[in-house]
Amino acid sequence: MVKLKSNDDKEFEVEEAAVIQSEMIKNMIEDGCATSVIPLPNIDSKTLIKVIEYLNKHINMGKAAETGEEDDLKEFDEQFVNMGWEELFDVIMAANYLNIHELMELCCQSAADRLKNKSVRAVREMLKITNDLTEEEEQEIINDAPWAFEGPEIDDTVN
Amino acid sequence: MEKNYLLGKGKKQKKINCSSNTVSNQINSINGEELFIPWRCTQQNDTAEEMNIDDTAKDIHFPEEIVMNILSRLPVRSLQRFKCVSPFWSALISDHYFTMKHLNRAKNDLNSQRLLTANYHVGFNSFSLSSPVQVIENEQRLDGPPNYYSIRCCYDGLALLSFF
Repeated sequence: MVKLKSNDDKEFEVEEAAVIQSEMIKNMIEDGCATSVIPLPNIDSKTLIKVIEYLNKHINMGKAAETGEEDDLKEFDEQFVNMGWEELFDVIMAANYLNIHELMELCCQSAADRLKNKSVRAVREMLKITNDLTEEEEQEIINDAPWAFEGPEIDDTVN
Repeated sequence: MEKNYLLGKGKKQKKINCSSNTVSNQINSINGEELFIPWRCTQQNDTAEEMNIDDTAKDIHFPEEIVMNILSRLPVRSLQRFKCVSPFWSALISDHYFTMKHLNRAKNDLNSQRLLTANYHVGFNSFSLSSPVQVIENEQRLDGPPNYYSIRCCYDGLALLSFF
């Protein structure tokens, strides 16, 4: 078992087979640096619980293909990313820090799916981006490709 | 040249100000091309005091790598629209490195592979936009002009059409 500690000082025990899906922790274990608790200063306990849930479910990912449990895993993944926007970002940052490739793929794809049909205003709000384009610059971009700004599917809601 | 690239989350949004001198050491170089880091820098004053960050507030700035990862999964239509999000997004989406990344992802995505065909009164020709070719279930017709056209060639997701 490997012990992980979140930035709010909560400890979690995870099976080594699960936790080595994180390249970062795998390297630490291989280098003999994981003998005691591994502190994760960038991850809070709420996010770490989500990440561990994913790691535990995907522990036998290689076997899933053989035993026909792929659909089960797919269903789990769909449910897993069914979380709030801010929560998803926390998981993406954690997956990036821990270097968990599959989790990163899953969550970035979910983020992309959510952004796909959003309006410019909605994207700015969702990502807390300040707009520095002048009205003229903005109009120029719109004039370049007006078809990208029109359509019934464009969604102005923030969620 | 100073840019304002602010990305973050959390209830409290903060601006981090710094001059182009400060940001220069945060510029990534990929394939010899300079890419801007997606966060910070405003066009306001660049005093050291303004760079102070309140460490207690929860505020996450996405690294450029993650922004690129997410954007490279979006269709061209969304990307064209999102050029309006900020100067950084506009620069990123227009960047050659990003274009290549986007193309590579599309090439490896079975769902995005399409067979481009032109069917006009005298003949029929088709080109693969990428390989391997697979059967496409959802045919999408080109919203082309009413004239007849033919496909001259396809390369890297681009098609050259001639109208007559």
